[in-house]
Amino acid sequence: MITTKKTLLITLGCSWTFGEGAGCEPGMSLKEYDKIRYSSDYAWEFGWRRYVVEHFDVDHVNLGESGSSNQRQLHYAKNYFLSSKFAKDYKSHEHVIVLWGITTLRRNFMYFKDSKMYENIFLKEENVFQTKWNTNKDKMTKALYKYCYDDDVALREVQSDILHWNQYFKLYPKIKNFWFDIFGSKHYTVKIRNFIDIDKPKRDLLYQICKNHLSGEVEKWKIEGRENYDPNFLDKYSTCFGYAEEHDLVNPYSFHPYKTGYKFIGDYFIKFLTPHIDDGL
Amino acid sequence: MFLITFGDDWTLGTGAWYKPAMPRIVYDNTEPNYEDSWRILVRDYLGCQDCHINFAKPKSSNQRQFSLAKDYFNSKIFLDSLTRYGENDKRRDQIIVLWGLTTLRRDFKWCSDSKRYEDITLNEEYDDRYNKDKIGYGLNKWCYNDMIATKELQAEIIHWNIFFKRLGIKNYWFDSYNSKNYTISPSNFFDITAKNRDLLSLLCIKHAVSTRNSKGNWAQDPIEYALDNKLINPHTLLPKKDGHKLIAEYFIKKLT
Repeated sequence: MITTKKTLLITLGCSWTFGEGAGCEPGMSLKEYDKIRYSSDYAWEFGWRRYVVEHFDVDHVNLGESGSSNQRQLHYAKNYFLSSKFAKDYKSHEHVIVLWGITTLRRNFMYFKDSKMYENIFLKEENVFQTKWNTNKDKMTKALYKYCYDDDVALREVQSDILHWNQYFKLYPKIKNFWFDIFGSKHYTVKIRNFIDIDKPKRDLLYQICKNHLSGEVEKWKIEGRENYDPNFLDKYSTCFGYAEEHDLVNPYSFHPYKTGYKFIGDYFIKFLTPHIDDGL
Repeated sequence: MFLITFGDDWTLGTGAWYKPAMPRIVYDNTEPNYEDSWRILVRDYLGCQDCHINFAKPKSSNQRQFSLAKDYFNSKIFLDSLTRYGENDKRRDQIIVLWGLTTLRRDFKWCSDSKRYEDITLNEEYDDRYNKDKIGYGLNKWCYNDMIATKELQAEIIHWNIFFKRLGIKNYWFDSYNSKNYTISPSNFFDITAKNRDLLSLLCIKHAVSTRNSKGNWAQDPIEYALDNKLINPHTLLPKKDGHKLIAEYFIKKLT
């Protein structure tokens, strides 16, 4: 018989929430890595969610997935929170915690006629775009980036969504929800009360891993002050991938944390959530 | 009572100022006046002269309306009014949201040439000068699917229904000028079980009934029927003053 725990933890976000690459060992070849990169077993076993779930002994629903955009997570949330599954989940738990990770702004997702499915798209500078493929998805991605994308506009839209969902969750007395930046701390123009470390200029998970690793002042600028800009998958809002890569804090193939990094993130969330969870459960 | 409206030209009341045989040039140069629109007639009937906010915009997409709703219901003005009324205050029941859903073949995006948000029409051709047209062409060619767009709209309807219900606000939906093939039937969607539930069909049906036109030929092409029978203005294909009166009566009956 499956027994229901007192609390339900719902997580949203991109690959970092899912736990992509969590089974990667230092020195692993690309071929070996490709075999385990998207494994949900490894993602669960060595990703950060398990540490939090087991520490607090809570039930868990994860909507985060590899390559996900903020838009895709909003879409999943909309569909999950209106579903009968959620109604049942809500009814059967005393508390619901929603931990929602905000990923890079330069992603989106759309339905494509040729594949007949929703696909993630990665908005990139035209010069690095892989035009050799020239698929409909590539053409649409290029057009969206060229004709319709602006970092500040994208940030405003995310903020508006965050505020809307804050208000939505507030209507459910059992829900407590929190936001966090995954990699790259955005320069939000509103102070969102339940955004983890919103008062700090840098607050993302990648930064936390790097800060924890940093031992002296010499390289401080690499995580605190540099606007690292990698048009392949990042936005202009600074990230710490340079430092993380140099110090082998992320794997060299997909730049996701190793097991130790995910464990660190798990502990970070446990520390954060403890005072918010009634009676320590 | 406080009336909040969302929608496109059909809700805004564009063209309510059209007079029979008005030439295009005169129509285009007439100052918009919404006094004869159903929105204003309903507003006045409900006694909301000073308590009405309208978000309906010309050629608006559903996406624009959802975005405007998000911003308004996030806003301090709205949140302050809620705080003022308190959680169990009956005055929250007095807020009515009337939301008109337009065609699915529109979208809403910020465009880098105009540096503003634009309503995008999904088209098979495009004017190379404008980003909104180029994007509209791409969306139509590579991404648009009727069933998917309907599903996405349905998710929004349910999402907002939950939101309003939990806030204690009464809200109603209607189809503006085409009836979509919904697979859900929320009780607060006007005439959801009817196949032709949109306002254009309403005008056509009323006309067909009053003229004893039993052929039902309006259903094949309501726009053509409405044009042939002068139910809509020929310049923008929107209701005229008498059409607005009919629509207002329809809403008043539904709301009271």
